[in-house]
Amino acid sequence: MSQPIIEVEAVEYVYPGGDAETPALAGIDLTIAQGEYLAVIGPNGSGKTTLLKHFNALLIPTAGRVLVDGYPTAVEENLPLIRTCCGMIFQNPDNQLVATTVAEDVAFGLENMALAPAEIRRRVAESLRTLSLEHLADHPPHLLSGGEKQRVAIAGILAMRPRCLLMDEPTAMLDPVARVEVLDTVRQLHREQGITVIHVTHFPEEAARARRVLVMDRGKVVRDGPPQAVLTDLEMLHSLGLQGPVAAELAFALREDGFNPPPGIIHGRELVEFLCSSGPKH
Amino acid sequence: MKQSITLGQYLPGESFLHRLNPRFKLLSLALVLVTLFFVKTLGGMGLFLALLILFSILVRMPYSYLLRGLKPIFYIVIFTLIIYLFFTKGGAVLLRLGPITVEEAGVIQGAFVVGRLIALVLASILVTLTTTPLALTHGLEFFLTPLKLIRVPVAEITMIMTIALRFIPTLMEESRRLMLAQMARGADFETGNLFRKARNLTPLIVPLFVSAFRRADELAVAMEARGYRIGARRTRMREETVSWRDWVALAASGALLAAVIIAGI
Amino acid sequence: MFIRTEALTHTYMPGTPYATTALRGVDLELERGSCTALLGPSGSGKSTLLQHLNGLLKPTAGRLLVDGREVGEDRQELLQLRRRIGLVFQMPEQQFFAETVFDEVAFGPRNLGLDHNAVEARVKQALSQVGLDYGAIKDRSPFLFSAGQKRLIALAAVLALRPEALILDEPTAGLDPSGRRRLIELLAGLNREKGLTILLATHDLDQAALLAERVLVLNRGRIVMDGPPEEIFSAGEELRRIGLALPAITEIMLALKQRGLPLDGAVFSIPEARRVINRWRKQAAKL
Repeated sequence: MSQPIIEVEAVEYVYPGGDAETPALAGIDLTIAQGEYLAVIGPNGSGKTTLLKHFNALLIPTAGRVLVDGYPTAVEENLPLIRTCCGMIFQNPDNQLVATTVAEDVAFGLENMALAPAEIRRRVAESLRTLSLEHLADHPPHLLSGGEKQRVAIAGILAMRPRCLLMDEPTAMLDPVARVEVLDTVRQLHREQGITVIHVTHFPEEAARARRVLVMDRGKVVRDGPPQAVLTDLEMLHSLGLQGPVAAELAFALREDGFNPPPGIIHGRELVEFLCSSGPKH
Repeated sequence: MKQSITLGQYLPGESFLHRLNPRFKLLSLALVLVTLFFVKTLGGMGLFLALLILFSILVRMPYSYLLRGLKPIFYIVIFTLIIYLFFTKGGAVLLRLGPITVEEAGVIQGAFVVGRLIALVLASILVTLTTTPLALTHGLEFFLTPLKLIRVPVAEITMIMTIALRFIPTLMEESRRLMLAQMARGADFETGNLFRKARNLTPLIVPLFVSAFRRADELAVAMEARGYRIGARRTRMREETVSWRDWVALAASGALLAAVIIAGI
Repeated sequence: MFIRTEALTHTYMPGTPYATTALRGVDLELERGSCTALLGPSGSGKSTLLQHLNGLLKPTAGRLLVDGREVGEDRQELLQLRRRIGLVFQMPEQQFFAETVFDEVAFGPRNLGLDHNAVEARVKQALSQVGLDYGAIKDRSPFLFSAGQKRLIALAAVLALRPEALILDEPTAGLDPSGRRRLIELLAGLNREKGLTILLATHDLDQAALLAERVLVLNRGRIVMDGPPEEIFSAGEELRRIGLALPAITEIMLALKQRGLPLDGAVFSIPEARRVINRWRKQAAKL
């Protein structure tokens, strides 16, 4: 395991004016290593987004502490460092773009970092190139599609050279094609640049892309493990009102019919492979 | 289906005017507009307009855009012309319709004022067509900078203007959608007296405000997440470089002003 | 024919440099009591088409007929049409403006000029149709419910007009899986039991598959496919080219089909997939 990038120690969080009896986060301990791809799933109101907002100091724990790259988030002076280290993508692609053109928007975070203009231009160009958005550089955001807006948001974060990408249901408002487009972009950044990805989602198929899955319920982490183990524990998922990936659900059903698929099937192609190799023969 | 609502009249391009530094461009515009008020004679105004048109051709502004920009003042021009033609008296009587006369002074002054109006709008259009709203904002920020001395938060005001520019088209599209949506529920925005009409707007205005506040809220969080802090030092991607063009533009506008004053035309 | 369009064409901002044609000659027929899904990628013109069907938008060319009568310019007739054909917009809870659920749902009936008793009866019925408890929620603020419940209240607000048809634009967008399921079941029930004609536009093929008996595919302002879901969804490659993603289960079964699974049409649910696979195993065992 490489260097931890995020450490969560006994964190509790109660929203201002919230009930201390039912905290949004009720005691969380967690370590996320540099370069991980982590998915966080859980029913509505389980605290997924609240937890994510602790990772770039948008929220500060009521009790316990969060360290980002070793720096506690509760210390005001650490904010610029933490926000550069952990960039965040939100659900509504419209409400996170600030500027009147794509290029200016990508520059926004860099301007906040007070970089030299030449350096900003260099990074903006590089970031737009990485996400294949050069042709849209001078477009106003309101004329972009949802998927394009979300990729512009990612470009804006990427230009800040973060080590960690926090995503709060980034595909919830996108159509299926744009969804894949955004997720493939993220996977590419994860693989090629080693960026740590923390992805809050309610799509089991999206969680299956991660290498570690966290299940939350009522402010607690109730399960933490590789997707092959967590996403195939259908009993646990169903009890929380969640579903597994379709391949896992079908594999589970077929087991009752006497098939014996190997454990840990979460992708369609794995199930297809099994059914064709073991065949309908049994 | 998204409609292309654009704000301002910016026309992308690479012309001489496009490449001017917005500060110099605004300053030159100011000089040109001042010059306009020093022009005293109809001949001078004609010359001035001719120069302006010649210049538009030189920098290759499509005339269709210039005409479209002049369209909103069409009625004002007509109205002004009528007022001057019929109510300014003096000189030879050119036309007599019963008790109404059109006299020489009316024609000359009418033409002069209309010429000034058109020149004024034309010069401004040349700037708005060649400057992005954002660059305009940044240009204005420069001229507001002295206000920092009396603790006016100029940078924050500019940020607000930028955000407004960004979201006005979004909110316009949203209000159009809301109107259709409430009409689908039987709302009627067209009939009734003024009071009723105003009351009928509640189903539009409330959701529009709710959404604007939600957007503002989410945007504030997103900006914070990207390291924006009020009062913190920021830089700009766009470097307002000053080239020979800017000095040429400024010198030319200054020379124009001087020439008009000296020649007294 | 209940609703019918002939060569419907719509251009936004015609005569400006920003003119965009969203619909290009759409011929569509909807029978009374039918349940149809309109599929299409973003920007295909789905929302524009829906907004024509109750007369909100006027076609640039072509015409709309309801019960054989052409919809014209008459204002009273248009108001009447909007009542008969209920249109539920995308994210309809964003239209909320009233202080109570009652006032929100009563907006439509009040616009019809009904008296208080009639309005109340309609609000009661509409809320019960979407499975909400009238007494418990009528005085609460519509803004303070969960996303799924807000969607139901918004649906009730349209049902309170007692429409003959319900047209919905991305009805499940932004809902979690359980909210989606609940809404789909509700719509299926309204169609089956109340005979409500339903047309829903979506880019989510899963729900369309579960609900509709007929699927239309819109691409770049034209209807490019029209048929029962099994038929449409077995054309996987073509749908993908247009930019529509197949349901995950359908993808798995199509992949198996390529590897020798005998399958006509398409599969949309896990129980059905299970049946098909088991049948395949038995056949193979006999050989």
